Amino acid sequence: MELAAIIGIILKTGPQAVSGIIHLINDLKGEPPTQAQIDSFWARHQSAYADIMMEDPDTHAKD
Amino acid sequence: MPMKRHRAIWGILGALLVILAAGCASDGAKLRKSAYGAFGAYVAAEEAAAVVVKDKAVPARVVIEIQKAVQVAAPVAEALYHDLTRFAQAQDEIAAIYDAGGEPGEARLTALAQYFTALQDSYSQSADAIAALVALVKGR
Repeated sequence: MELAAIIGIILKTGPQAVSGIIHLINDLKGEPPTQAQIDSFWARHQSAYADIMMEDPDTHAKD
Repeated sequence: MPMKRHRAIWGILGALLVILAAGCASDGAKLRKSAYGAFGAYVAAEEAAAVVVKDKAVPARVVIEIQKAVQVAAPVAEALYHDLTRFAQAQDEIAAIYDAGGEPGEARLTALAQYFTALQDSYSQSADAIAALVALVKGR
């Protein structure tokens, strides 16, 4: 019974602790990249990938 | 007694999940930044490669070599992007729930831990493929 009570307290206070940890880390180390920032790289990847793959080697000089 | 034991076991599992989530939150922010940095490095290398292949003075052999390297590296980098996105969204959703004073529940916390592991794997796998492309482009 005591064990269940202790675990109950941990479960009740845990979320606040996790939230605090998340904020603390963000404050200490700066915000992690946002989805918009990640997607910006994705768009650039798609553009560069298409440019590379669409290039025709036959239009280049031979060795 | 079995009922108390049952509750205690679930309580321990719940506490472990909270601890695991706390670990993911601290390591997660770092991993999220590292994975973002790796994906960004790949995109920068890819953009540099695009400039190289567009130069008509560059021999056809080199263009083919770069195209092959990109074909190998791109799926790895894309897997990294997808795992990063999935983890970041799950982490943000959980943070928002905590901010609102709620509790995300075991299913979300378990999923976050799984996404964290997946992102760790794809991040470590991406290193070689990305480094190979970066080295190839830098050599030109």
